[in-house]
Amino acid sequence: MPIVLEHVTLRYPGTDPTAHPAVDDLSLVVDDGEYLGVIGHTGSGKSTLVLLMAGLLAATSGRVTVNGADLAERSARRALRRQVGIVFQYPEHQLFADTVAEDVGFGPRALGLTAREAERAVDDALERVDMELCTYGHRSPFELSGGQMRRVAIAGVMATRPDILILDEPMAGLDPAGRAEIAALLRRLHDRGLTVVMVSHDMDDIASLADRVLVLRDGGCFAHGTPAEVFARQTELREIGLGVPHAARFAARLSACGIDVGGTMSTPEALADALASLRTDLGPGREA
Amino acid sequence: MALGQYHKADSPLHRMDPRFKILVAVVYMLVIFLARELVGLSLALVFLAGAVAASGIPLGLLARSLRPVIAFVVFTFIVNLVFITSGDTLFALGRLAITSGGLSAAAFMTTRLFTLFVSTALLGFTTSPVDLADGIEGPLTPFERFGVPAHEISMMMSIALRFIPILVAEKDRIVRAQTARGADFESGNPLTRMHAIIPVLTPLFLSAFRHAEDLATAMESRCYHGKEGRTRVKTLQPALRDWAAVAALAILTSALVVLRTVP
Repeated sequence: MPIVLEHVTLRYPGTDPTAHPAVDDLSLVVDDGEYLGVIGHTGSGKSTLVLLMAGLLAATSGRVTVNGADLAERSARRALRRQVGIVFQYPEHQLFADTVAEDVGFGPRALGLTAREAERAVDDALERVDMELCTYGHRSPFELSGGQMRRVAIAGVMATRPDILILDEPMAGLDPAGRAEIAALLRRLHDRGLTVVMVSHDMDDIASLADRVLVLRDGGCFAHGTPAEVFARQTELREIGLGVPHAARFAARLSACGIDVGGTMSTPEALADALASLRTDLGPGREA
Repeated sequence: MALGQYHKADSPLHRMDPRFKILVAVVYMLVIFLARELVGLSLALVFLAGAVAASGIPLGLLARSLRPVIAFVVFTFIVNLVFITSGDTLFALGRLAITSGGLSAAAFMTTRLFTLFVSTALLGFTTSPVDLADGIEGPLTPFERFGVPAHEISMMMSIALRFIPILVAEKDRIVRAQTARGADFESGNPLTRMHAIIPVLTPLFLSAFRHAEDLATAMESRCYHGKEGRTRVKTLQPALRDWAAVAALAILTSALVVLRTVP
């Protein structure tokens, strides 16, 4: 069980003690190989949760364990940096080196790998994000496209070979092609067994990528379950200012018109399948 | 050191027209050097004490702000004490002699420094960065005919001040991101630590340029084209207290001039 949160509360020092804490009595388990999507509007505690899971912040109370190590200890938080990769918002803004290879190699070198091991880690990480070392390695990261820069930045995080990857709004600010690149990359990484936690505002991205969805509200858990379960609670989600995926909205419209598609469809594919089977159920006779 | 330590309060000094406040402070700092003897210096100190009283700044806060310069003041005192030899010898240790002239020069010099530091600190404590930038533009405007870009200087100042917190937040974000990638900023010898700064500095510079470009575009798209034809939201209007401060400074200055000419 890689990430376990037990009654975790985090209150930033110096904030109003009467207001709700940034993370408020949150309990959560993220299983090995799970893809957890985290949603919630601004100030709901998403970014704080990310920092807690990555060991960059210590909980005020409660317990965070990652791969069995209690993060209350400083040494455990430091050791965690090899196991957990974290991709912050606009990760391409952290690029700094002259060449792609050098930038991606920053993490492995900082962790004290030998030059040879580091090079292999770089090669491996770039291959994983589909930016081959021999083509892009010697180029300046600043002359790449937005989506490519972001993939290089993600490779820089993957280079330390984490088995958990945490991403904060990985698709923000990219054009549709860039978004598709990143989405495909994340799906591929997850298929290879990586545990992924992704914060996003885009319900369609969450629905198409995540296995489970956590909805945060005022630092606490508002809903937690599969995308279909969570997005079935459309009215409640709308009440707290969140949307639902387009497919779920469309399915709800259809059922309001008396066409029952059978449950909540959170992805266009699932909805298309449901509609297709509906059409077969009706039988060919209707068309005549 | 006076910048960015604004202490929000409502006092006569806070309410002063920033143009007058800056002018009075600058002239006062020049006038201090007219004081050559005890009476003159005491007058200057009385003026300063009045300003401190009118500022509503807690004395403890003021004293704390002077802490970084204590070493400098002490050093000045010692240098003056040891190297100026005139008048009677008060104390001698080998070739090192402390004279009455040295002692008084040291005392004068440190007092002057002290008044300089306190007056800048007061200015910083009682003037918000925005007011400071506004107040600088006014007194500089007459020099425009000699090619001093008064408006540009004040605009640059206020933008620079406004960007400090943004860049600090940006730095924190980058440090966090690089830390998560395994960077270590806390251990190692000074050289390795200096090296560890590069992955932070490069992105920080890039982000500063990005912010600057965005801001320039935003300003231009809102038709900013320099000073010409611009009006102010807050029109500065000198009040009685501003003229009172000027009058007090004028009295101090004439007293010091008279004290110097009368033997």
